[in-house]
Amino acid sequence: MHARLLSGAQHGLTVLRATGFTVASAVILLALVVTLVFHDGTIERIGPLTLYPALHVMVAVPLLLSVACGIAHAPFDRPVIARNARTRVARVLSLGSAAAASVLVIGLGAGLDDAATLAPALRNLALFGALAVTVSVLVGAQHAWVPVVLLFCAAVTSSPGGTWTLYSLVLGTDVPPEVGAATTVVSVVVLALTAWDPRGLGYLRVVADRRAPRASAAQLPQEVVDAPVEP
Amino acid sequence: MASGTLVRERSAARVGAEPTGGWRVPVGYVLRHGLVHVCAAILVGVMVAALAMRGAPWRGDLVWTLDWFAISHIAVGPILAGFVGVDSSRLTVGMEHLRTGYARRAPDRGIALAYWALASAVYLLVVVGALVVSLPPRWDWAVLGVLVIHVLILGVHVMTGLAAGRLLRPLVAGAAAALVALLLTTLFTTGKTPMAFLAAGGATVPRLGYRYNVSFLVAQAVVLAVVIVVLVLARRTRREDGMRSRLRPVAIVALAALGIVGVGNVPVGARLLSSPVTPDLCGAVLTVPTCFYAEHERLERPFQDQLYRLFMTAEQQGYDALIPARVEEASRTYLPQGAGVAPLFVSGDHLAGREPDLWEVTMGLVEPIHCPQLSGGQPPSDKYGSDLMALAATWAMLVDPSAGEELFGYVDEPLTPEAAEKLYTEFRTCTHAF
Repeated sequence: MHARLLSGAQHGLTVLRATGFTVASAVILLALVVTLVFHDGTIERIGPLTLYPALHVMVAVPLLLSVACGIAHAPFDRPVIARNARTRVARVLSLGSAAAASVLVIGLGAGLDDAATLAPALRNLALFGALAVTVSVLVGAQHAWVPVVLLFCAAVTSSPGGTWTLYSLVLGTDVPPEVGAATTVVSVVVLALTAWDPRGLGYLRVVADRRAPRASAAQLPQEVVDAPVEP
Repeated sequence: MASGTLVRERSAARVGAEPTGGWRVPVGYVLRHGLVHVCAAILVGVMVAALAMRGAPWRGDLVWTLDWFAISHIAVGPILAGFVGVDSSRLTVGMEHLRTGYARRAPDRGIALAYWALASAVYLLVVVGALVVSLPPRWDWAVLGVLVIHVLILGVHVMTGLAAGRLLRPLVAGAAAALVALLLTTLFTTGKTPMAFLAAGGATVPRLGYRYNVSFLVAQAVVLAVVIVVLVLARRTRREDGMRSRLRPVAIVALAALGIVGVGNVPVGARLLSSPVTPDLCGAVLTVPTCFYAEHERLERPFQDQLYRLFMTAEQQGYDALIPARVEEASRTYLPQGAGVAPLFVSGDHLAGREPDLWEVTMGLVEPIHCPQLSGGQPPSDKYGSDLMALAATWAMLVDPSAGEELFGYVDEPLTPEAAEKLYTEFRTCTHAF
């Protein structure tokens, strides 16, 4: 029984290792360390800008976690896996585990310090995570951080006030029910997009097959040109 | 993913171009297969958005234009570093052995160079565009030095990305580089010495009456150059390297840290030096001369309109004594003083396009801000507050009878011309019992 459980766990880890989960867990670990060390801290300055009111660290940690979620969706980076149901499940597992770990880290931070940070932190995870995963699905997991940086910088330079303003959506400390509902809808839509995976990035065989007609066949060795294309 | 094309490109480089092709091979490669154009498009968007935000109040003010621009660094730094990190890591997979050789042959340095050149070109284009749009009336050649500093700051971010790309896998190199760039920008932008080597301004208050300190800029450039060189030299030590080779990076970092701390703490003074200028764009309202800074030409008309209403009604209703002999715009380094000279205060909101209201202009004219009693540690008495309020409200109520209550919350009867004159004289001569 133990042996079976162990082998099952090993199998699960192998499946996760075929995605970006290893790298994502390093980022989650960094977020965990930040949470444990600075869970009651505030960020008072970003570059030359002074933040007023100061930003609670636990409201900013979801930025790291959402990049981790984007990275977790990455496929195996060697061109040996074809697209099939198992790889799809592996990526869903990877993203799901990263998201669950992120929620745990946020919960830990809120439990350690101030329970009031739970709602804005979860809202930011939903918002930034949705952006990072969207870019991961459509562009590539290596660029998942781009929208996170852009949205955060736009928010810190915007003016406070209002419910639907950029500032309140990203840096606000209270989450009205309508904002909570909207961010939930956004994250569900992104999960659907992830399951659909319209671009199928990273399964390199598929990408190479799609690009083959554009390359000049004369430059490639004959056996590559003649190789059968897998469905 | 350019992996398919990467394989072909590498074989083409091996067969066709000479390996000593210098920078041209990797630069051409990253221009074709990297995301350098996407990065440039994002940078243009970020820079233009940073300039346009909050009503672009920097227009016309040369020093403020460049200092305001530095706000964009909080986004430009991470974006640039991250893109360089991703491309220098993923486009050189399989070429790691070349990173250790001569600088000329290291392909990732070519990639970083391409990014730096393009980012600098984009930056200079946007800044020159901003200066052409606003046409600052005063010119200072030290601004060229600031442009060099900004290009070097872009270089630090590029080389941060390069170092991340060498040390990390493509999947995480971009995110790590962006995070490090954001941390560097936060740690090294504020401070009074050139140790704040990423300092480039970022103020939200006008810079009129200040000029750049060239000695500070030179020291800052030296520190930036040292940081760039250290980041360029960063590479992973290989297991087969000898002890001497493994100690080399430690020695380089230690020497560089010494240099940075040494040059960074040279007493060169503040980054901006006070350089008071007097307002030079003079006109008149009902024979009262009004002088504004040429940089703020766009504010002359709205302020003159308010002054005209105030002076006209004061003259008609017997309050002539309140009308000053001359009105001058104040700046952060110049406060108009002297008998009969009243200051006008222009805020960032006005420069962003908001019209001055009656309250601001009236308060500017009557408030005795030049009196030494007010700048001491003691807070003024309540009587001073109520007297100031009564005087300002009286004058505003001449223009608009409802203004006293609406703008000042003043419900009493307006002062008589004699009482107003007495109070105004006390304020001007600083003889009021503050």
